[in-house]
Amino acid sequence: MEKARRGRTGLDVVLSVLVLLVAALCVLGGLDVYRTHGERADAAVQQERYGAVLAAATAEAEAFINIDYRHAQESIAGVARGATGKFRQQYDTSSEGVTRVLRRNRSVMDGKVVSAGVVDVGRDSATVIVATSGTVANTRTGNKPVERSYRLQLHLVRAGGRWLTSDLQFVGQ
Amino acid sequence: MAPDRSRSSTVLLVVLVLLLAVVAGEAWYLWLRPEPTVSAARPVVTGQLVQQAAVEAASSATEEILSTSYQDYDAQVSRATSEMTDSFAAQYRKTVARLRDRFIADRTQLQVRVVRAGVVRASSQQVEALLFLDKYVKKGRQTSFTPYRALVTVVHTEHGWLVADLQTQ
Repeated sequence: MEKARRGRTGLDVVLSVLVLLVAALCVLGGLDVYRTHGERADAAVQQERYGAVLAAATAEAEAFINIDYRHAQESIAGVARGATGKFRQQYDTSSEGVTRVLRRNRSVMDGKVVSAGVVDVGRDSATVIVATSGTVANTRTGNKPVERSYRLQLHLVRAGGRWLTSDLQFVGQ
Repeated sequence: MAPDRSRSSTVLLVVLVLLLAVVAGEAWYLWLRPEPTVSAARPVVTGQLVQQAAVEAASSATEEILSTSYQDYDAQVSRATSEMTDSFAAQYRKTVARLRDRFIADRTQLQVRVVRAGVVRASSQQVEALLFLDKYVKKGRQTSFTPYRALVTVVHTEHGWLVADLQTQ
């Protein structure tokens, strides 16, 4: 009887020590999980930013390469909607002039984004490169569609919760 | 007295099992939780250092693969294939074997430079990069310049990042 009691006491001691050790491991693990969870949440925000800037740059590039003199105002407004700063001003201030040129040349640009990649992205600004393919038709081409591929670089800024293009350049055409 | 002892052992055992379950859960979260899946909303699911290293590897490998000269054609093919996965290297060898004789006969020199590079999609194991390339072709005394683009896929292997696919656009 006494022997059995001693045996159970010994088992309780061993279990208690194990509980304490595993509880300590639990606390250390919990702290690591808390830290890792924070890091992963920050990483998720940063990674979702890539998706947002790529979507914004793709939409803006598609607006930029889909211009039709028959709907010139709409085409220009489409580009202006995703633009900001000096780039937007170009479309706001010169839209009448641009419309005239488009109508005179009977310009029709039709295209799509083939690929887009992020060069760099921060909290409030990003640089994206975009490859497009499509056609251009105007009086110079005899109003026949001619294949055109563009390499574009867009600079985007975050304003009012949206990613807007503040600069768009052709890369060494 | 004996039932109390028995109960305390049982309680300690239950607490121990529960704590072990918590530790197992923590270990899963820290080391075994799968990486998020690449999607349109989240095209990059890896850290900046990993994707930067991959895009740099894709850029330098693409320059190496696409730049070649009639003077050292075979050596260049050998250097280029060392930057590729086995399956892509086999595909590449077939393509260049068809072009070899004409390329050497025309005394062609091809120089390709990456002028811009961006990440399209990235996980810790596979990265897709968009590259803007400037190609200079010299045939005899004539030199021509062509701007073009390539979508390059690199995969992480024990030998570093290797090119698994290269689509010029």
